[in-house]
Amino acid sequence: MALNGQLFFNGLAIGLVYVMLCSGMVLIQSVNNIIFIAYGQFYTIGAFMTWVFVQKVHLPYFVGLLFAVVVSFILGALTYLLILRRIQFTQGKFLATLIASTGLMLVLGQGGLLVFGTTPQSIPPIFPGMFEVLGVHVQVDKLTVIIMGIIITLALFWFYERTRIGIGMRAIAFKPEIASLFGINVDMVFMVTLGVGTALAGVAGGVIAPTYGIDPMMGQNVVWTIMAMTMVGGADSLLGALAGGVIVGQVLSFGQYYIGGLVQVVLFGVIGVILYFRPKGLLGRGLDIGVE
Amino acid sequence: MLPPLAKKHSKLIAFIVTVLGLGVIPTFNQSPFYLDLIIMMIVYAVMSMTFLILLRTGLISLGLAVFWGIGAYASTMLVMKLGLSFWIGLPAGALASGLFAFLIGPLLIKNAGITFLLLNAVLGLLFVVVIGNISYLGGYTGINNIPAPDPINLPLLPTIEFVSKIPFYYLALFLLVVVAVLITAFNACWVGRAWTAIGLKPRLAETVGISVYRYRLLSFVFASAIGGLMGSFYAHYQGFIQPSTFNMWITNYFQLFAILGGVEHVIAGPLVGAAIMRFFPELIRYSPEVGNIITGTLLILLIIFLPRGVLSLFDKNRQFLEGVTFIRTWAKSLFKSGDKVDTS
Repeated sequence: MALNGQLFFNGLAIGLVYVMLCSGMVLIQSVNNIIFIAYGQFYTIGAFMTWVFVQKVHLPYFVGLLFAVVVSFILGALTYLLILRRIQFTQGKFLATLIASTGLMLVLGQGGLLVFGTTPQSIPPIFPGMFEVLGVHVQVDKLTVIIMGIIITLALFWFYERTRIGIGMRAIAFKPEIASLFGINVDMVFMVTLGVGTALAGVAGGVIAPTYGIDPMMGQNVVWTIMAMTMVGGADSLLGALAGGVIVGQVLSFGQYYIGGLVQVVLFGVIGVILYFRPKGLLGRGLDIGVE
Repeated sequence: MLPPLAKKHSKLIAFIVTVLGLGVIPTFNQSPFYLDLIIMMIVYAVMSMTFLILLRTGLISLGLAVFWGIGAYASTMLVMKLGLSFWIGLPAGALASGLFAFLIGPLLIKNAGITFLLLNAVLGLLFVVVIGNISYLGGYTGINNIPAPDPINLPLLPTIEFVSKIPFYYLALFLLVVVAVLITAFNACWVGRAWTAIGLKPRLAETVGISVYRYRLLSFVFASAIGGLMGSFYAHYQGFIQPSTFNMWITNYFQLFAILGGVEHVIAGPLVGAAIMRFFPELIRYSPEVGNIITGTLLILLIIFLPRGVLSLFDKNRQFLEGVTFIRTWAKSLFKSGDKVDTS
């Protein structure tokens, strides 16, 4: 019981990081309707900017995290303004954005190595210590990750469902031309979406920095897994991202303990089976990439 | 201007000139470094051609590396465990890949479009972890000491021993020619016309009596078999393989080579794209720490200013100078707002 509780707790912590990563990816995929491979680099940048602000500039952790998120947002918005805006409206945009984001990935990856160095880093724990509930060792740091994950996810849902820009995003995700006819500033919403998406990746990176440690290749390693997870929940459904992230976190945590390295085979196999029967994902409407 | 016959066969002449040009390189430059660069360029270019074969029928694949890897592993296993010759392993690798594609294709192609893309991506993710967990296939560490091809005796030539890079170079060139001839032959006959029709409008093609499913399966099997062929060559050329070589990023690179060159040119496009992406980092190798930054910037600029590939500069209905003015209009639009820019 205590063991399973521990596994559940660890899985919940890592699952909520996945939820943040998946939500950003879902926003970019559904609204901008592109596959954004450079997404992983923003995760790395968020983590390392937090590290820079906390360890080098000696800011308090939460202020550093906020600055790192702002940097991620600005970088994402600049990406849209400088690059994606040129190809977002052309015909073969799916393949064109694939190439452009690959190029961006190379630039940001190498730039990150130049600026931050090639060695893994870590931030000292903000809330050291742990307490025991029903035999489960609850590390306060992981509890912080869970609480922040829940707060950010709730804020995102409020933003997506209630604010004007969120409504614009949903309208554009549904039918961009008609949304444009109804007076929604498509250009601006695209920019904000990319910024919010990359900011979510950045906050995920910043949140895991004190608990799990950071290394320069972490974004590149995780981006395809995130993409597969978003596809299972539905490429355009935030609720799907929530479910996908939480479930994958649990599967990885329990599976790693009980069946070892085979867990990835099982995970991707199950994802394949789900996608075979529900190509649009469990909760989504599916993407339109312009081919049938 | 060119005589009419030369104009008609300009692509063929350009291809022959390229192959001959590549063929004479070892006579005056035998540095293993450059030969390795060109051999890998050819392997990557052929892999990008398989992407274009699939794209022609409207299938965007994210699992090209899987079939590359299956060819490599099948051939390696046949040679190392059963003691067969490389010259049996090479076609056997292609056969294994093709067979796997034939078996799994019906599942993938049933729903084309985004489903095909996603299932292929899952296949690509699965391949690395499955191979990594099978200790018989070497696990994540892979297989070392794969033997080089056996010496062959050709009439009128001395025995060819695969000890230096030069025989491998000519073998790669030979495979390139074979694949190019195969692709051209397929595209020239009724199969190619059906593929083009499916790529343009699948439903219309279905209406005029083309079995979309069967022709897509054919193109999938064909592309996978070519991937297996190159995988077998790659395994015996490198001498070692490991599952992480066949990951998602390499598939991404294959797509990149093809799109960079121009997706309308099935054979020339991947060659040009792979050449740019292989040789450009070498030109700037004196500054390795910023190499990727320059390459990435080049990619972004190329896709913004030449969205239809480098070869669209030399299109028949657009002279070279017109292409330059086209770039200038694009450059002007950079400073305006993000209006819809007409690319046709």
